[in-house]
Amino acid sequence: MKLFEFQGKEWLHQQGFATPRSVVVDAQTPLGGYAFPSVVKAQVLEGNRKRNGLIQQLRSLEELQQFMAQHQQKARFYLLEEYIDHHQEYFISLSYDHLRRNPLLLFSEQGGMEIERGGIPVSLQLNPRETSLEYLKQFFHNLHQPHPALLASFADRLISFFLENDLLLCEINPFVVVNNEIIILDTKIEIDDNSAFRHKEIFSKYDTKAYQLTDRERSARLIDADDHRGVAGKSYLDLDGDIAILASGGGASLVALDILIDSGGRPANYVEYSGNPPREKVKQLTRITLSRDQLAGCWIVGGVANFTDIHETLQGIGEAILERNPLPQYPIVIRRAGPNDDKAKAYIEELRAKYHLDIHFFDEQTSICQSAEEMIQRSREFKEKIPLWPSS
Amino acid sequence: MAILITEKNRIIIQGITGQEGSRAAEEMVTYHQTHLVGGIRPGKGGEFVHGVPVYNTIAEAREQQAIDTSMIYVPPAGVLSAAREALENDIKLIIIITENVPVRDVSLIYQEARRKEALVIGPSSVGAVSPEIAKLGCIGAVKKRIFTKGNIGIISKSGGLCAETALLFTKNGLGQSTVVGIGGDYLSCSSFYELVQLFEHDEQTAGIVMVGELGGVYEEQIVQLKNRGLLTKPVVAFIGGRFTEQLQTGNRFGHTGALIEGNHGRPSEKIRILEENGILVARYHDQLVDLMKEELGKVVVSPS
Repeated sequence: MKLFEFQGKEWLHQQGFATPRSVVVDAQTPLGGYAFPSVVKAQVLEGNRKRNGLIQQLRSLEELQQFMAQHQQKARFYLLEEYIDHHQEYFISLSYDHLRRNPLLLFSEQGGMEIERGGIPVSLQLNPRETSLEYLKQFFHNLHQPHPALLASFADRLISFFLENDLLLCEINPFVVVNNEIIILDTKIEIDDNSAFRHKEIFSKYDTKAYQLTDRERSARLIDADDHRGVAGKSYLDLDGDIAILASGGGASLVALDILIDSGGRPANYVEYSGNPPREKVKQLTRITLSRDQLAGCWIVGGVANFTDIHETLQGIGEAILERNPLPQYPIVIRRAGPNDDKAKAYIEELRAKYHLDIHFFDEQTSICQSAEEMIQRSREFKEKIPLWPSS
Repeated sequence: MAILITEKNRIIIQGITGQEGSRAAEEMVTYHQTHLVGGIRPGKGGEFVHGVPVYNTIAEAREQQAIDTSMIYVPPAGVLSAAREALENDIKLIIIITENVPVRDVSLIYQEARRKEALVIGPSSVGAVSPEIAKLGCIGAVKKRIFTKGNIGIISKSGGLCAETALLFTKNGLGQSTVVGIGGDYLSCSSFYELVQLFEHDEQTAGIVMVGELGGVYEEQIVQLKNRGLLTKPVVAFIGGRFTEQLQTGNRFGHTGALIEGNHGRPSEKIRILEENGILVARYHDQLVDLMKEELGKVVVSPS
């Protein structure tokens, strides 16, 4: 889970790190009583904010109001901070090295936009058993830093913060040294979702994802909230095409979307469900996925399942399809194999006959790639039949 | 000969009494020459799961059996201590099936395994199978003809694509030596790098298939082996998730490691590095078998 800058700074401040005086405002805040000049920062999770005009120095309340109006589609929160006069911007970050699987410290005395322009920081592999304060002092001393002890103690505290809180990333870019004190001007923090069970308070306090989702994405995430059997909905993402996707398996979902798009199809969404989620979850996910307008197809695609009950799953999907009013006229292509897939096939035949759905079941004899061709071909034929279909 | 798993492995399942662990036990005891010798569950020592004896601890199990392989099926919060128990008991091959293990714990497991010279695969591994010999986990559960014995080694991040890829090759007359799932987590204890080396030294394997995706750096790492002459057998790869490069970065697609961070983890980057170093990359999944046939055709294949 990625935190917004203002959340990261609040947390660091609570841990004893110095940050500029600030206030968080949004469209509902009655604005006023601020000291100028100051700096306003749109709270979004994308990088390069300064270069993209999302960070600005301000001289007046009017400028603040203009700035907020300008960026209202992108940001919900704004951080208004005192301007800290400084000469040099430093960069420091903690993350994991994928290859050595160790925590990794990166440092540069050319922080700020320099790093964003591609400046290369110095790295230090952190072996927690060996990286003492003395070791860090030596590291900064070797880099000819004027404040090695100050930097070492800062890094040491940041490393503890990073490890104790199961962070995946703690990037401070930039920090500055003013009157022999380190002040953090920007921060990017990401917490490992897998560690939520041992950091419940932090996760409930800083739930960033809730701020930026479409209604469908938000509803989809709620499916897994109280029921941990299997996963269905966590990955839901709205896209702008016309073929609804219900994919099973992380890897298979990627194979499927790549070939669909390469072959000219346009997905309306991405989602993958796996781990044998209960029928109710899959039904709810299908309801959400099929609630899109202007669909020209639905592709239910997955690999050969080891233990997901295909019949159960497809019944959940089938029930959601039958709830649609009117019933879907667009083609529905299913490619699945696994336990009880013969019963699933019979069930789909029944749906086709009884409700006149344009629905087709393919087992493992047809590959994922071949079923993509089926989906695209049938969707194209469907679109050609409707004279008033808006052309893409 | 196959890699990792043969009739010689003496295997235990940590967490054998849970739903996943007991399902794995049920399949493994009936799969060809798989030797599942015990299960571990504190408090349930003395019981049996599908005919397999359960012990309270690994130390207890070792009093009665020689053990060299362990599969971990415990919940995420218990994986670190389970792995440590296995390492302390000198087990040299550990497969972590559990998903959603905290990254910090994976980092610790990896470092400790290296110190003990043990090989850990996972987390989020689907297991491994050497077709018609032995298997680890529920991989290949279905009653269909998916995995067949042959000379193609397959390494995949995705568990589902282990079966899908094996199926593709089986349909085209190419069986498999070993198929192994390494998981798609942010940090994996073993990646393509470690496992292609095992396939390189395996007489039964003539060609290697890598099934990767966006995220991390594990796919491109193997070019180091190629450039040092340590990887000479034909390798073909598929990298899933090209479509994600058109979307906003930072989203996760399925696996916890499947994300683009800044400029890192892009499929196009991985593909470029692999192709520049002589590794063929399939444009779509089905193409893997065509590319492998092409590569094998260039090599004089000795009978396996």
